[in-house]
Amino acid sequence: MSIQSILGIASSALTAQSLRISLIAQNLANADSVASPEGGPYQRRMPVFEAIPLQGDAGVEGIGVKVAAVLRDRAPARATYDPSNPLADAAGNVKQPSINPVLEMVDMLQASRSYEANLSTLETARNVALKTIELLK
Amino acid sequence: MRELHLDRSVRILSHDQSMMEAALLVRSTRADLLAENIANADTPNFVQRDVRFEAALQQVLEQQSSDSSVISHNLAPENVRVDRNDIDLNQQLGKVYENSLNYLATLRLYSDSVARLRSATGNA
Repeated sequence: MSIQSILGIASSALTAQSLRISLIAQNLANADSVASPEGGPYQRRMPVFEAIPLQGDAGVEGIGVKVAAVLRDRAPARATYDPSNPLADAAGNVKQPSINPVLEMVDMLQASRSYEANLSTLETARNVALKTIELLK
Repeated sequence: MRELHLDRSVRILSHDQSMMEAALLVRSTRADLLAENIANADTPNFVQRDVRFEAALQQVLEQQSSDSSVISHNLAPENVRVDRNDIDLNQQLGKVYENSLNYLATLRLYSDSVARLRSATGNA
């Protein structure tokens, strides 16, 4: 079994999925951040997954996955009426990030499911490789 | 006469072995493709691929250069989601287990066959 290529493929997916989970954590943590370094409220981040050929010693060794870009949600900011807030505009509205915690949680479940699937691929490949190595006994 | 017999039995064993070697090769290629499918289960526009086992085995046995005709695409058009990806993780995991079980079974047969050859040649 070409264990190296499976290791490469599955670990590229583990990296991509964990970046996805950390972006979800970032979104949830900033669900109430009305200010951000770019100015304005925090904007929801989301990863773009892309299939990439993995280069090994002998050319392409399988197709892995990587996060090609991290995009910002273009949904308009949610305005809440809070005239006492120092960040309120002339009409007394404060712009809040448009983050839906339920959506983030569902996305997180899916990400962790995918992460586990890749782990289990790794484990199967490892068991098969160990059995193959036993032939040398 | 006796020598001839031995020669024939060795050839029978080696025919079996080359068949098993080919099967192991195809199984390991299939494991790669299945790992790729699982890794790309959330990649937009990624279509699952799989090996057509018998056609691939035939190709390896006849020592043809591998071509893409043994790899099938778009196996589950009914699964295609909004992101034009058709991969069902559970289905793929099932295939991974099935493939590894078959690999291990072939491996067991192969090592038994090597052991038989060894004992026949008195090197057990």
